[in-house]
Amino acid sequence: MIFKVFFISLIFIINLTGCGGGGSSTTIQEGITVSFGATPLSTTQKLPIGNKTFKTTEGVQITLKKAFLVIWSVKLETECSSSNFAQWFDWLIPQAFAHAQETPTQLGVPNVIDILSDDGNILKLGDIYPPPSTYCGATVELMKADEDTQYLPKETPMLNKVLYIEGEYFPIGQNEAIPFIIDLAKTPRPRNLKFPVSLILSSTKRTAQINFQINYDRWFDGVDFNALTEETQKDFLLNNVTNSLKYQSGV
Amino acid sequence: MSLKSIFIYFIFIPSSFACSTCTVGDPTLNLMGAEKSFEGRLRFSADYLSRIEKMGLEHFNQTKLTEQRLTLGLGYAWDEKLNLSMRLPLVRKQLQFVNLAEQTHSGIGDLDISAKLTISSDEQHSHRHLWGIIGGSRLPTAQKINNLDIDGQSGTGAFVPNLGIWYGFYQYPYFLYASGVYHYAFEGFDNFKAGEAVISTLAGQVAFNHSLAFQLALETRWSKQNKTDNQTDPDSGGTLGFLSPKLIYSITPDILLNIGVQIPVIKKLKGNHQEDTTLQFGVVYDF
Repeated sequence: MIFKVFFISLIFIINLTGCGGGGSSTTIQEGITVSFGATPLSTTQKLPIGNKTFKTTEGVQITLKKAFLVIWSVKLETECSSSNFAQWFDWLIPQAFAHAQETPTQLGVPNVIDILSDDGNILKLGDIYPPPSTYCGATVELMKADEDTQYLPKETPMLNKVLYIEGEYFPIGQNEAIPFIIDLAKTPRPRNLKFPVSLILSSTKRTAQINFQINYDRWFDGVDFNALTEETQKDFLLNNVTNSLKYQSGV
Repeated sequence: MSLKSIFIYFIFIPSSFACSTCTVGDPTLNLMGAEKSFEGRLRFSADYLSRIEKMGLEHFNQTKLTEQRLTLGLGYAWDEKLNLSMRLPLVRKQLQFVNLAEQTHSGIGDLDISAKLTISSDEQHSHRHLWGIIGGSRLPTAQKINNLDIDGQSGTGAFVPNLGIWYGFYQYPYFLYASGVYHYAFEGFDNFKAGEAVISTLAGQVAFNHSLAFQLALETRWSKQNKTDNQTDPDSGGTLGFLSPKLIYSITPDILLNIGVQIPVIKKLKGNHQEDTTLQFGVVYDF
């Protein structure tokens, strides 16, 4: 008799659980989400998709026919008074190999930015889910792409590259274009960007969009094209590339 | 309920869930007891616990889990040596993430079935020493809720078979119990696989009179780290030990009440992982 009670109870419980839990309730409340985006943008005029032609501060006309840049990681900062945020000259640092770490304040998904896309067209880099706080700036790291990188181009292999450019330039006073290719895997120092107004994330401000613009028309300012194959000029160029990253309004 | 039942009641330690997938304590004893049972005994239990668990770094990536759990159990003694039981948890979980996101879920958890076999009953010394084996499995009966974190689910959706040994020593007014059980978890919801675990219990009890007893237990769990999609969770696994004082009171011969806490005293967990004191109380009724 008692065993029957036990057995019937067992069958009842199995049926109860098998029928979807016998009633359950679930509520999900979204938390703070910050979305990052990036776009190529000329400092003089918006250029459409395709080859990008512009002049350096020295007057050298450049046409980019292929240009890809890898943004490795983006991190929100709560402390912007350290020396890292001073606008001193960015020297190169040794190459890093570790994958960017995904944390609540850091986007660890690398992205390839196609500089020849529409100026002003925001490319979505990804979302992070940071704690409530006051964020004064962001740190952007440029590093060579790995297999997990988003938007890897099909025609141009970008694996293990941080910057790839195919283009031509017209030396001042000359009418004949000189083609060039730049293929870099060096890692520059991170780019530290202060927000003009601190980003305050709280229970009443749960979403934010942060965009970066890449002023590619400033990449070749001061570069000696006659020595473009030398390491010093490559480093100079990469430093320009780093400094061309700007914060764009949208916070 | 007899004094003997109270005497051995320290065994009625409710299963406490020290993480979403693991247990500390010996849940089989809650229903089956450690005494030499009699054929056809049917026993009901209801155990409530409340606990808080924190994973990750505070103000950085910490997730806080607040859980209330009511576990209903039914135990049946096949004969003097074999006890069978099943336990079904009703779970309410609230997950709070560092970015202020919240997930709250209530539902039925994973059904646990187990068997306990007495191998040696020490008949020469009036059953003063008992020992045997424990085995069973948690069954994936919880319903998976989409978009809910694995720690917020009412179960893991995995088979978790377990096997172990137990020992009891009885000499009024004292009682001693020890058990060690190995748990192996198969893959469950979202390709989550809990780490293998060994759960041990060492407990003593003293009866003040025929109605009131006090027990003190050291309950430990050692486990490997959890994995999701073969990626190891750095904030999981390790060794955890609870000191568990408890009062047991007999209202009537058939009804026992218990109330106690589990205080974490051994905290050698991997990564950033913190368990707070657990509150628990329950009732056992013999039909």
